[in-house]
Amino acid sequence: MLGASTCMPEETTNKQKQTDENVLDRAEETRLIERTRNGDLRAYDELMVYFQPRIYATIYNMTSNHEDAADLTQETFVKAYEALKKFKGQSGFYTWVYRIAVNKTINYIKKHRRRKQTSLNDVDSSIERDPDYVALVSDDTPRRDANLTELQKKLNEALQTLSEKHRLVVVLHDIDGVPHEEIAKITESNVGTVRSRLFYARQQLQAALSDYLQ
Amino acid sequence: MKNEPSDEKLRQLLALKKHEVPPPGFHEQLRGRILEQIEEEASKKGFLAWIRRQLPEFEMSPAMLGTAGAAACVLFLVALSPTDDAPTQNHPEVAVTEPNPEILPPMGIELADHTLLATNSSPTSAPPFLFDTPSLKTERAGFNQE
Repeated sequence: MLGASTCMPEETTNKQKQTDENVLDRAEETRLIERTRNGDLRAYDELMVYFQPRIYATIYNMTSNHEDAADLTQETFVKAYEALKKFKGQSGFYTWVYRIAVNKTINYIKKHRRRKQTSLNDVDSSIERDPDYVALVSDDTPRRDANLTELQKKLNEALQTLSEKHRLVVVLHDIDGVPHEEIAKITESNVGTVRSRLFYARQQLQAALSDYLQ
Repeated sequence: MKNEPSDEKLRQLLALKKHEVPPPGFHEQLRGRILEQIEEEASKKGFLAWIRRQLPEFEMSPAMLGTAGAAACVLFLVALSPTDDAPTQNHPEVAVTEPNPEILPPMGIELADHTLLATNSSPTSAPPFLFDTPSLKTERAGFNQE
């Protein structure tokens, strides 16, 4: 295994800091893609710095399993590298990779439908400062007493009750913050379909999480 | 579709999932794994490409390929054909070796006859009674006790 943290150039490490801001302009993206096409793996590493955590997060929220999410993320980026010559740039690299990830994940979930094992990541300490969390626990509701792990488990269970298509739009829109138009491109459907799936999925989730939404 | 208050609460609840994060250093390690796999696949493809480059050296024209195939078929059929041209004559085949005058017998040994004979006796005639049905004596079984 490559110790990426030790062999990463300084340039890459600096880009890592920007990942949270999701800053990668189109020109830089095109330049990195071109370098990757010419066999420069460092350029691909830089592209992954931007996109891998987001792709991983989406797959993780879809599968509720850390190991599966890691494997599928790996498969996605290997496939994307191999198919990069076919990438014409009509959509952004981000949308294109997302499409690969989404297809792989949905196929995987369909194949392993019976295996509903969850392997959840830890919740980071910054949640205590999250205004959404503060707002949720400040009300006098059952969720105030519920501990964080229980809430996390409930949330994941509720998500797993949705069909793959409905889960996907909820994950992309309500968790990852992807706009409807972009979701339509990723899922190769129209915006109306995305909106109606989101509406239905939220209804299902509200029923499953009613204790926490009073 | 208007955002209702319960929608907002649900959104707040779902937003908490952003805080579920993999262990520290996970993404760096995963990137390393991905790059490693890409390099492995590339080296495999490189080997296959090398094999493909070597193949034209051994390529034959369709006519030659057809001839070689036909020859192989003929050889195969010949090998499989029944050997019914086995000797059928009744007299034994005799292999005669003429004495070589240059090869002398050891000192003190005199050969009575200088011709060496090798023979097989009638290969097509079966030994007597080989195909006769055996005459076995059978007795009927009875249930009467005496």
